[in-house]
Amino acid sequence: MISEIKKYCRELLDSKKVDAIIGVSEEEGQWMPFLFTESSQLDKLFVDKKYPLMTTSKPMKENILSYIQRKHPGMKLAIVARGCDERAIFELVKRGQVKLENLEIIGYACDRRQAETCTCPTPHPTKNLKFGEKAEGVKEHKLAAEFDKMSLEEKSRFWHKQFSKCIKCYGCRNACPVCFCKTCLMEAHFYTQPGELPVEYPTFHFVQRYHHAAQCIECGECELACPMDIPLRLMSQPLLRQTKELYDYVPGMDPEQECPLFTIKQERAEEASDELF
Amino acid sequence: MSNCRIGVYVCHCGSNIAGKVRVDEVARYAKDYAPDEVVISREYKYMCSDPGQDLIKKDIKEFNLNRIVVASCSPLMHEKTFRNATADGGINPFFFQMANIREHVSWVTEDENAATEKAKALLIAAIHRVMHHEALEKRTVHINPQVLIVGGGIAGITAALQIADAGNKVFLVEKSPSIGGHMAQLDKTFPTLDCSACILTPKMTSVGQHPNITLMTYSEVQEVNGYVGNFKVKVLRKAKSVDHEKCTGCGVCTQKCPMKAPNEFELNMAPRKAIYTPFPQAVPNKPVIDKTICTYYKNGRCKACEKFCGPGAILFDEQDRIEEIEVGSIILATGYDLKTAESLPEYGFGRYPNVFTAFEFERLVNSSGPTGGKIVTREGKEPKSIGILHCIGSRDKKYCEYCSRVCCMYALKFSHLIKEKYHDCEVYQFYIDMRCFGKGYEEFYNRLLKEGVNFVRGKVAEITDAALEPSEEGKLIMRAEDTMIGTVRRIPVDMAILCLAMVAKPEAKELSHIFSCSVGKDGWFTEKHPKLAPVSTASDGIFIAGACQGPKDIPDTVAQAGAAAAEVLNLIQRGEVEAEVVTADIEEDLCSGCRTCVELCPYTAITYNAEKKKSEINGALCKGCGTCVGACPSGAAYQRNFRDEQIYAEIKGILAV
Amino acid sequence: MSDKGFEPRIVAFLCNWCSYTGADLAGTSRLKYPANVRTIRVMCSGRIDPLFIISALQKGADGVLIGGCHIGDCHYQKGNYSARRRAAITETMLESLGIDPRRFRLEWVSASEGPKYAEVITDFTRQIKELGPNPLKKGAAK
Ligand code: SF4
Ligand code: SF4
Ligand code: FES
Repeated sequence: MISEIKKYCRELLDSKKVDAIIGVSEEEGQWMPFLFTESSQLDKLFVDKKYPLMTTSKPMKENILSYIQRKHPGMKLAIVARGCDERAIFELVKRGQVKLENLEIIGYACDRRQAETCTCPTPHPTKNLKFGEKAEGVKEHKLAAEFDKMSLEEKSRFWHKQFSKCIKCYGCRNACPVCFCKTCLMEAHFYTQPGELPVEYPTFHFVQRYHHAAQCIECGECELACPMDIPLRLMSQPLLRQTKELYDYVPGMDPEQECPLFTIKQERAEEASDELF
Repeated sequence: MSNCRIGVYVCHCGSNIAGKVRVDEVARYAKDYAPDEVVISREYKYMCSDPGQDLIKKDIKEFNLNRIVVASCSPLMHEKTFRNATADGGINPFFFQMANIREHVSWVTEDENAATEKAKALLIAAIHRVMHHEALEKRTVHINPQVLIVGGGIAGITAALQIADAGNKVFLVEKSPSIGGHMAQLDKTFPTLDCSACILTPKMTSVGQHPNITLMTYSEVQEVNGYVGNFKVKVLRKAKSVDHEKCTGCGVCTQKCPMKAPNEFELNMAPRKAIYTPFPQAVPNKPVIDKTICTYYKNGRCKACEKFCGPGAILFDEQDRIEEIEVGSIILATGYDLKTAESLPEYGFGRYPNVFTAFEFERLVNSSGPTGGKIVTREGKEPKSIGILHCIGSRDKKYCEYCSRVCCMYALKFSHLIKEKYHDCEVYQFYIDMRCFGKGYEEFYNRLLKEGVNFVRGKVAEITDAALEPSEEGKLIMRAEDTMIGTVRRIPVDMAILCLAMVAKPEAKELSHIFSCSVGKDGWFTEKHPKLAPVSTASDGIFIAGACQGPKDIPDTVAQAGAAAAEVLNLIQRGEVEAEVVTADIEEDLCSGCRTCVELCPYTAITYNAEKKKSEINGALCKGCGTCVGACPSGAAYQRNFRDEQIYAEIKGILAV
Repeated sequence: MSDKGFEPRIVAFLCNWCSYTGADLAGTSRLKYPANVRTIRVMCSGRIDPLFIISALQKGADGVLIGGCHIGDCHYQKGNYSARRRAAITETMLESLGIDPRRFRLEWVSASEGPKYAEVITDFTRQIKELGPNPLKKGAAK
């Protein structure tokens, strides 16, 4: 697959259809996001290793795509993207962080093994699949069956235990490709006591989970990043299930679809009804 | 916070509070709770009394206080009072917080201990909160004295004349080529039977000639921006294809025009030309060209009108254009429609030629109408019997649940007009019950009872032409249950008139978005308060008048138009209004430009600045609900006096006890 | 697991125009209800961030109530629509955290519904008493 992708990218660059391609490069065992402007650089293009391509990078304070789009408006870009990268792009489009104009998404599918590593329900781009075969996704978190069976008390005890491990490294947030705020409320003093460990349970983690209630694209980056192995996504999945049920909304599927927490259009159209939910 | 010097005052409110709450203990508790910040903590009999307020002012000076907390009644009651006292004492009125220990504590709690504990919690919350307060300034906005009125029916006309007569400039926007509205189509008006045109036409003419009224017919409002006192309005001026400055209204063009179309004003019962004035008394009495029919626009030939027009007023090239106007207040008087008869198939309108709508009948009896005032069937014959059907679509859960309020009366009027012309014609009124509530209405009903009209108490369920007996051949049969005698009757007539429900204009919903007001479930504009603010809307500076708010007869419409005009004149007279202080704003540095807030704002106060990639709040539009603030994930949006840190401080304090 | 003598603390966020006024009316009508509820006034239920709720629970509240105008009556027309959407999510969120979602309630109380306010508080207090102390409180969990 990699050789086909490289071939395709080479054509794009040589024919000047695009000015540059965003992808992951490998050099001496180091992976990093890279802006390929010459086809000669494409030897370094790498797709096997999962890399949080859309994540906000600390020094730039934004993700690579929005950075380049802002620095070089009008530049014709392509991006080599997995399913989760595509979903992240779509979510970021909805939130005004990146644009789809002048952007080609070169989508490729992950294999089942990768899907298992990430617990990814949709291991392929939904709109721009170009390379590879769709593999079956992993619908359920590995702990979901066990978790769902727990009583409220057990859940409460479960999280107490899990979050007492938290070392407040902000890894889950830093790795998240759909986080983009300039300053994060997880750091706000009225949610988190500065200098305190373990963090105030559960506000610290609630902030991010709630903000991503209808935004989490299930890429698995947060859990992969957590050094303490806290199964964070167990908290998000019920929310995703709910937004699916209530509003038939799945984040990252369609850049046109409005996030149900951003809009009250439906209510405007509906007759006023007093029902609570 | 160390630089806070708080004065705490716990009010007894006579025995209202002190009877249940141990006020001395509460006051002491506050001082002990935060000895560094709470400089003085007092209890006093009546804080809202002059000596009570003076106490605050005096203490501010004496103890150099910079924050005030009063634990007393509801802030909805006395927040203003104490803010003023705080300001009089020399510190910003927003360095004040109130704890409600009367309505929320002493009056609702049985046990003295519980009440005292709860009072402490609310007071400590207020103390925590006030430490995070900031100084805020009051704002006022200027009122532009120009007024926009949308809709040129009797409501719009009345309001326009009243406001213009008072010396203010009015823009009257009307969608059709002439003002006059539905009233212009009516023949007589109930119950006095004065001729509708005779009382309306002089008013229309005054509007046309009024130096303070700019008439914008054949125009529609497209966009409204701004806020009370300062609206910017985009009006679409549809091309009339006739220069109304030059046109003398001689009408020769209309005579010469070869193209015909059904005349909407006559409910399509008579033709009009492609270049036309909708009716003889139209204001402005100058024609427009209907581009959908004119052959010149279709295939480039004809121009008959241009050839014959003396002053050369025909402007084939005229384009639709947008005109921008600035006004300070707006009255919506967009009126109503009748429910379409086709939407009620059981009454056979369209299928049976002699089923008429009420408006068709109005035109039929009108001497300037298509038959010159002769009541005839569509075949041109004089009807020997006529059925008038009340409540068609109204008071019917299937269609409109409400009562349309005018049908009983105009149905009576119809009977009278028929009887006047054809004394022997059998007239049947099919009614559920007679609603004759207005001045002189019941009297009119009594008069009709003596005119030989048949009243059948029962709603017609169906009109059919399937005859069961020879006497029914060729007639329309009204099937109705006569609830007086409890049997289903079949009454054959030559003509049936449907008193259709008044319904909201289909465009009302769209208008409600343009004007940021709301419509109820039936599509009528919603008033701010059904009893106490019947012509105001939720948007300041935007008022409603007439049937766009709900079914109404002419007297009520005129009264409401007068009320709306008075509201507008009140604004103009005041010249400025106080603006909301606790509005929201966005911290530019923190905003990530995610646009979460933009859609949620009920007042479209938030816009996204694509260049900066940030959202911005127009402070003049914001009413301070805080919905954007509650949604902003970045903590960039904040609401004055309801900042996150203030509320978190309150949460912390309220749970500290 | 109802504790004898357990007096819960409930934080109620009330919108200024309907629910807070309704609560005032309960007062002026001298209706009696349990003293367990402590009110925080906001201008509209739309102002309430679910993080307030979690923060109140975390700081020791045993229950949290949001009071807003009935749908269609919001003083700002549409604020309570947002409140309703957020509340749905909050419930699920609490549940997945192992906090009984019955500790959180959204109620529409109009300015004229003083009796309803008193009823809501009475009922909610009873319910929270049944649920017992909030397990989130520091030291409550093992
Ligand atoms: S506070 Fe309310 S009115 Fe003001 S900008 Fe925010 S959402 Fe709009
Ligand atoms: S929600 Fe907050 S961060 Fe997003 S655009 Fe609005 S103010 Fe900016
Ligand atoms: S003002 Fe009460 S819910 Fe909006």
